[in-house]
Amino acid sequence: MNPLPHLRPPGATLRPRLKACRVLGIDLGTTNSSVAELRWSPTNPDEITMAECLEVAQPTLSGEFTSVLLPSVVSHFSDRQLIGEGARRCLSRSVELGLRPNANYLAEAKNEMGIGRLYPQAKAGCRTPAEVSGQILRFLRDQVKGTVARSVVTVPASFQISQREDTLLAADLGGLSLGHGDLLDEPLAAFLDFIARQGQAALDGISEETETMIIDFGGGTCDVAIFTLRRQADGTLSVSPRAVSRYHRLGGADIDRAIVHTVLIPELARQNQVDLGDWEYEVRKEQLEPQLLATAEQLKTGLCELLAHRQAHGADLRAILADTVKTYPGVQTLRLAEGKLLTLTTPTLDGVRFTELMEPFLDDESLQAHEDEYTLSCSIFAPIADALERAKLRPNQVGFLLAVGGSSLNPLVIRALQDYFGEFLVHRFDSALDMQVAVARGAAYHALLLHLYGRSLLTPVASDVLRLETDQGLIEIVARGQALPAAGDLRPSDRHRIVAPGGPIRIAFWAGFGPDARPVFAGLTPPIPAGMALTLSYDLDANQRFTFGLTPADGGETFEGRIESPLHNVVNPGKDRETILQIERGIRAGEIPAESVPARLLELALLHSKVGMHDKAIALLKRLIRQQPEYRQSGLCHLANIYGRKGDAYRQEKCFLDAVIAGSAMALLNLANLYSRTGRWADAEEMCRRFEAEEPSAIGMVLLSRCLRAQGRKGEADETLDDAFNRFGQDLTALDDVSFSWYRTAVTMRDDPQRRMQADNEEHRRKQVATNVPRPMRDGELPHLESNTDRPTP
Amino acid sequence: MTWLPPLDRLTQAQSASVTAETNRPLILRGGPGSGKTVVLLHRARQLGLASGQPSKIALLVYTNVLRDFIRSATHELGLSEETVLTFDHWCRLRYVELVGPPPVDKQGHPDFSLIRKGLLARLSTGKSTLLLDVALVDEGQDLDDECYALLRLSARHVTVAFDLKQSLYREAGETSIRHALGATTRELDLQATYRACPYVVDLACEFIADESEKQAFRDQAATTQTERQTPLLYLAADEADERHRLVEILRERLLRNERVAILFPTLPQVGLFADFLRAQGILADRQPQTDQQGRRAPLDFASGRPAVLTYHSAKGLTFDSVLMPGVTRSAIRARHTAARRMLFVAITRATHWVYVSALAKECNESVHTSMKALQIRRRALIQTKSDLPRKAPTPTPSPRSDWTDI
Repeated sequence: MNPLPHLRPPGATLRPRLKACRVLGIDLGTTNSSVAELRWSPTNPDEITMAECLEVAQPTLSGEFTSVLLPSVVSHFSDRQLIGEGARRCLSRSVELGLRPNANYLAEAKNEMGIGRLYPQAKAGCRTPAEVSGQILRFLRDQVKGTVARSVVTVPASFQISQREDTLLAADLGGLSLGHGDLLDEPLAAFLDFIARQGQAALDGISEETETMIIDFGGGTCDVAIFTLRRQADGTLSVSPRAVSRYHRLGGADIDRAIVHTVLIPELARQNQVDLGDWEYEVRKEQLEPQLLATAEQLKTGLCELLAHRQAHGADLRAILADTVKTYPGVQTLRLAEGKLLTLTTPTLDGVRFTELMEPFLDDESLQAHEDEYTLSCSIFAPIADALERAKLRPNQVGFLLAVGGSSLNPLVIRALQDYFGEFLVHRFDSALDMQVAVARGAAYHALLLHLYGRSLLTPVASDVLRLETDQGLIEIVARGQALPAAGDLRPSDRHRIVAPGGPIRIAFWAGFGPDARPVFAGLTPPIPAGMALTLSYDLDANQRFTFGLTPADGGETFEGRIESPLHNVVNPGKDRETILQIERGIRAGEIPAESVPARLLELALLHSKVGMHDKAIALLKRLIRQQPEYRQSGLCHLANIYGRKGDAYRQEKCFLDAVIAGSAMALLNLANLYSRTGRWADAEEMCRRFEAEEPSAIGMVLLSRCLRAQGRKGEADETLDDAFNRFGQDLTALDDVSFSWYRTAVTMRDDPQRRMQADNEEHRRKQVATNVPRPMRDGELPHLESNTDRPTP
Repeated sequence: MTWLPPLDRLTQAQSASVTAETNRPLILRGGPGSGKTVVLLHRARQLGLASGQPSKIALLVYTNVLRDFIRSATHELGLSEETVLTFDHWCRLRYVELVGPPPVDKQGHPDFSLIRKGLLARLSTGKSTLLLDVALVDEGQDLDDECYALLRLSARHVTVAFDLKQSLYREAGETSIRHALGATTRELDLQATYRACPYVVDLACEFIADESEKQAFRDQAATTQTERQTPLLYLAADEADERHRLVEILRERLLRNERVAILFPTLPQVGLFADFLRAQGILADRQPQTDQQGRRAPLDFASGRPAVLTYHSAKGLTFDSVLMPGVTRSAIRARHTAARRMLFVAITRATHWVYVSALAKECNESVHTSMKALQIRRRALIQTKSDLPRKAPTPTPSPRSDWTDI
């Protein structure tokens, strides 16, 4: 079959003097990568074969393994470097072979592109995510001998500039030369390949304007891209991105981790008669998890294969869950770092357990990310709902849905999508392999089209209008639907000119119309003399990056700015996680001065606890307390609170008591609170009095009053509460949030209508402040627009 | 459990064979992996559905192990396990039905030869009605003329699948089968559909003596697989090393969710090795021995556990990977035609990968030579202990003095 007729942009003509050539498309994936090749010859210019992924020979410890998929893994041991399958297979023997993640076992580097992550313990040449990815790209590039006319590497649609730049750097290290147009968004690549495979049939369902959703549920991430596909008058398909939502840590590997921590580790503890609580964070996460991941993946893929196989024989998925079981038929020996051996005998995973475990990943109602110590699970409907919301679409407005990526082999995932969108809307590739290599093949088609015609079938267009704010209202810079790249200059002309109002100029760009208009850039130029005419040059490139420069007519300094993807919406949840990575990186690389390290470490511990990784937080705090005596008091209190959050009351109390011994007054108050919550009123009272002796406060009085009242000493209790109100004072706005919450408690205890009203008012005020999103900056003057045409509408 | 593809995934040749007319006997020819068993199973189901009498359809095989193997897929199709029987067991049941208590030999075991003869004599009288609507026979090259005569008298229609290159039990001639089934026999070829890794094909070819046959076998190999791994010959330093490596390999394959067989030339080795594996914590299904009463427990091929079998009993079975330890000079005499055929059968049980090992100083010469030749073409790998990573240095304790290891 010749896919070229379906792919050639209508009206496109061959660039002159083309020679026979070869192009590559590379899918640099989180879990697996692949490379596809296409050849073209001028003797038969209207015909190409289907793009095929190249078979990549990968050395393993038991012979050369050949596959179109190259696991994106690099490992070093015994003076050798393994890339791909050979490296991946070593994971289950990590302790035996001395493999440590991010040191001599490097996987999932793509998830860390563009955030400045370093692997200081890794071998030279593998110390950044770009370098690791570069090794993988070089391995793939080396599959092809001879010259390559053009290469295209794919990236998630949501990749920001820094991540795209890291990808370009990796390509450079891998011996590929790429320009900006040679990075292609993965969903578009998958869609191109779908058109090539299905021919006209793929487009039959696509009317003049179709909202298209591509869900790429891969090994490490879940990307949802929505774009409007329009059939232009000339037959070309235009693509306007509507929304992109990318969720990190939502992929097959997260399901594997969930299996490790909810099925395998508890089973391991049971079989070895160990109390699960005895294994601290480091043991579970750093030692057991790597050794068990391969087993978890084996159970998962094995079970999915069994389910899919039985479905293919006509069975109903729900009916076979109960009696489909996957077992690892052996004993796995695991080693702890201390040298102790553990055995895990015939772990199993059945359909029912798997369904339970998959529930948080497939829940279409509760979309909150569910985090615990070891795993982060988030529903695939979170990015879907998010993307739909941002694109302002309801599920039934989606006209075409394509599911790609390794995790779309999971029958439960497909079933959930079919239930949500309707059975006939959900498209898939015919075979499991196609689903995994579609992106690389699509990239190869894209590379060839660019090489032959200078453009591809899918023309990116601006999905919304981009406007500059002036004193006369908003003026259009890039029109909605304008083909990208869109670049130009807004020079002073007869029709209009932009003039400096005097002083610093406030530069504000807005995206969207009417109520949807939202500021996407706000900045302030240096002072520019009043009346100076200004030239605005701008460029919105095919990667949706907007850059602009504002140059005064006198040749003064240009004010420059750049906006990433101003016109579509990208979410990258997990701000706290990124902060964690940044602090870790700073500390590892020695960028944070030694004297600030303990403080940052405390911050790091609290952040870990905040994102639910309590055990990691505990491990950090313990080290901090051990090594930095001045952090003993506060560290123990934080530690106690984290144990409290984990529901470990015994350790919580112990830590507070230790903190008291270390001289912490706050620990006394905390203990009083802890005792009061468990009805130990006398103990609580004693702690309150000791606290009062050290640090008199209103809060202590409220708590003391409660203890007294609970012990039937009402008179004393009322006096104490009076005392507390005196200490709180009249000005409620002066209280910090913690004190104010205790004030509210006191008001409830006293049951005073006037005080309650005041407290309600204050609470309302506080909420207002919290939700008051700051408006774009107010400094400076807007540029003045002199226009001879109709005034632009604001 | 996953070896049986659904009907809509069969190749054209396979589908045509499933639905072929039953008005005359049918011969299905195909090399290892061509899907003979798959076709017979689907054919059993389709014919059962069509006639409405699935109980009058039998799929007959020669060995107990193959029967267990095929039975592991019957529930996928909603077929009764009793559809699949060994030929001898089926004869015995019919003998009891039509003649009386079956004759026994000196040890008290059923005398199958006498049973067959007795049953044939009874059926030849022409007094009884047809016992079967359809008889489907797998590995037909292992049955003799007498068996075919029995089948012709018992069933309205007979379909026989066979591959002469795999005959281990007798030298069945193609013409003799055709003769036994009668002149109207129709023949279908499944050969173009051989599905196995090209490396397995290459290795198997080394054990086909006849050049034209070798070429024919190579030509049939049409694979849609994109994953493959070069066969591995491990030359072990000593027995402990050979076993250790085998366990390592076995674990690796199990983690890949493969269906694995470990094949030995002799039955005592099977028993010894299954015990060893158990001690290593790997649950394997070993080929059971027949007890005093001639009974044996069935093998569970749906378990996902590796199967430990002899070369002989693995006939007709398919696995993702086949591991063949103990390929020594003494175990398999190299130049013997039967020995080469045995190796061919063992190797072609694999669709993905073959692992062979032996003590370095006792390795079977023809295996060693073949592997060496293939290694030069990068289509096999020979390994010894020194090629493997030594025990890792104990991981360097992380420095506690600074914070670079958070």
